Amino acid sequence: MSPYGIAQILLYFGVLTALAIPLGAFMARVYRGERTFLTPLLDPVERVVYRVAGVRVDDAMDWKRYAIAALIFNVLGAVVVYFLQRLQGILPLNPQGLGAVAPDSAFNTAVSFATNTNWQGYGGEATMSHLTQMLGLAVQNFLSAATGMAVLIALLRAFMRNQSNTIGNFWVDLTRSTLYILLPLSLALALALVSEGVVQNFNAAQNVPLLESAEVVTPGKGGAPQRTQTLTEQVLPQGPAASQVAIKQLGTNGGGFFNVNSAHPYENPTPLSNFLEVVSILLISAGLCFAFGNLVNDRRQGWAIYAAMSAIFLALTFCAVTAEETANPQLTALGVADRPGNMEGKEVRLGPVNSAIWASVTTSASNGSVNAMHDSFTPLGGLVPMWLMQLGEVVYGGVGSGLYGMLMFALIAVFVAGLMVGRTPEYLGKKIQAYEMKMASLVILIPPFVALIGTALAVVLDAGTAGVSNPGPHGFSQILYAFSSAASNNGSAFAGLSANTPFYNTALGIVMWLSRFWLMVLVLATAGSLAAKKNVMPSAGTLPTHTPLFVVLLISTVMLSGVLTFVPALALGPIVEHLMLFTTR
Amino acid sequence: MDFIFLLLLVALAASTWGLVVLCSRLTGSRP
Repeated sequence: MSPYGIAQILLYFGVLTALAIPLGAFMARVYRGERTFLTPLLDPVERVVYRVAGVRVDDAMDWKRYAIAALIFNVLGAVVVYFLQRLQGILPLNPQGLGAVAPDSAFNTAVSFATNTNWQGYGGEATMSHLTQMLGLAVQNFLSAATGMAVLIALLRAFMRNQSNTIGNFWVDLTRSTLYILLPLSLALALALVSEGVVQNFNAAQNVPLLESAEVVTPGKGGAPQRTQTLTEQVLPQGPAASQVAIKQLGTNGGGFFNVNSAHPYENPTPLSNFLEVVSILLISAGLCFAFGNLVNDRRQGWAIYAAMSAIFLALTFCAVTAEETANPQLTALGVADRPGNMEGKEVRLGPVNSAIWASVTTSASNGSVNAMHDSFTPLGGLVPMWLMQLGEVVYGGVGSGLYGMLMFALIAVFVAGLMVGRTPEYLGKKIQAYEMKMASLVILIPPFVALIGTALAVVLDAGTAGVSNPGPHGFSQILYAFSSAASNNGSAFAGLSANTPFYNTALGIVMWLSRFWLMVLVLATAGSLAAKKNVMPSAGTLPTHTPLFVVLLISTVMLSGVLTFVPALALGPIVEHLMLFTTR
Repeated sequence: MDFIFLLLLVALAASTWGLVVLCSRLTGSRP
C-alpha cells in the first residue's frame, strides 16, 4: 500500500475519533434529558411536539408497547412513501413532469427507506419528483435513523434499570434523536456541502450545449446495424440535493439524490466535500459507542466496543485500499498504466484510495452511498465491502442498529467465553440466561438466512439470473452482494445487476423488512428481559468486559460468525474471480 | 397491483406483530 493510502486511512480514523468523543458525550446528555447548549432553542419545540402529539414524557412503556409503537410508526411511514410515489404525477413540485413510479418499485423504495436501507432500484433524477425526494425519502431518512437510535437507547436503558417492566418512551426517544442530534448536524452539513457546490434548488433539469460534440455508437442487437448518434447538448439535473445528502450520510441511509449517488459531481463535487461526507457516515454510529459508555456510567465499556469495531474496520480498510491500488493485470498487459491502481468505475478526481476508503466506510456503516462503482472493484476490493455487510453491520453499523447489533454479539461473547473459562455470564450487571441467548442467536442468524436463501432463489430462477450483466463468478457476486446489502439494511449495490424488476423489487423488499423489524423486535424483547432482572454487583467470578482480552473475544465472535456463514458463498464469487483474474494468462 | 403490494406490506407488518407476541410468550415462560 502507498504511504498516501496509509496516511489517508489514519487521518480519517483520527478525525472520526476526535469528533465522535464529544458527540458521544453530547448524545448521552440528550438521552438523559439533561441540559445542553441546544436546550434553550429546542426545548420549546420539543414541548410543542409532545403537546400536539399527546405524548407524556413520563409515560414509560414496556418492551411490547415500545415495539408496537415503532412498528406502527414505520408501517405508516412506508405507506406514505408508497402513495407519494404512486401519486407524484398529480402532486406539486414536479417540474420534470415525472409520472407515477411502478407499483413494485414503489413498494421496494417505501420499504427500503422505512428500513434505513435505501437500496435504490430506480434512478433518482429520472424517477422521483422533488416532492417525493423531500417529503418521502428525506423525511424517512430522518425517521428511520431516529427509530434505530431509539431502539438502541431502550436497550441501554434496560441495562441500567433494576427489576423494571419499562424501557422508556418510544416517542420521546424518537423526538430527541431527531430534534437534538439529526436535525442540527444535518443543517450544518448541508450548509457546508452547499458551500462546496452541492446543488440545492427547486429547478427543473437544464439542457446545456456541450463544449465539444460527442459521438455515441450503440451496438445493434439481434443482427440490427449499429447506431451512431452525435450529441450536442447535455441534461444537468437539479433539485434540493444538499439537504438530502446531509441526512443520507449522517443517518447512515445512503440513498442518493442522483442515480450515481456521491460519484455525481453535484452530490460530491470536491475533495473536501468527499471528506466531510465520508466522516459523516460513521460519525453518529461511532459517537454512540461513547454515548453508551456515558449512559452505563462506565466509559471503559464504550471504549472496548469502539476498539473492537475499529480493529475490524481498520484491518479490512487496509485490505480494500491495497486491493484497489493494485492494477488489473489483464489491462496492464494491454499497456494500460498500472498507477494509481484500478481506475475502472472510479471518479478521476477521487482515485482508488478515496474510493476504497469510502467503500469500506459505507459498508461498515449500513449506509450504502457510493462514490465509485463497487461492481468495478477488483475481486478482493469488492469482497471487503461485501464481507463488512455480511458481518452483520456491527462494525460501527447503522445509527443505533450497529451498536445494538454489536451488543447482541457482546452477549454471545460473554456467554461463550464465560462458559469456556468458567466465569458467570454477566454483562453490565445483568445475568445472561437462555432467553437472551435465544434472542441474540436469532439476531445473528436471521440476516444470513434471508440473504443466502434470497441468493439461492435468484440463481435458480430465470427472473433472478435475467438481471445479471456479467455471467460467471462475477454475476454470482452481483446477486450475493444485492441480497447481502438488503439483509444488512445497507443499500449499496454491485450496480451491474439490473434489479429494477418485479422479482428483485419484491424479494429484496421482503428481505429488507425482515432484517430490520424482526431484529428490532428481538432486540427490544431482550431489553425487556434485561430490564426485569436484578442488577448484580461484579464479583471475582465476573468476566470483565472492558479489557483487551474481551475486545479480542468480541472480535473473534464477530469474525467467526461471518466466516462460518458466508465464506462458502464468497468462495464461489469474488475468490474464484480473483484466482481467475490473477492466474489466467 | 397496488392492492397486492399493500397487502404484502400488511403481511410483513403482521408477521412482525406476531413475533412480538411470540417473544412475549417466551418471556412469560422464562423461569
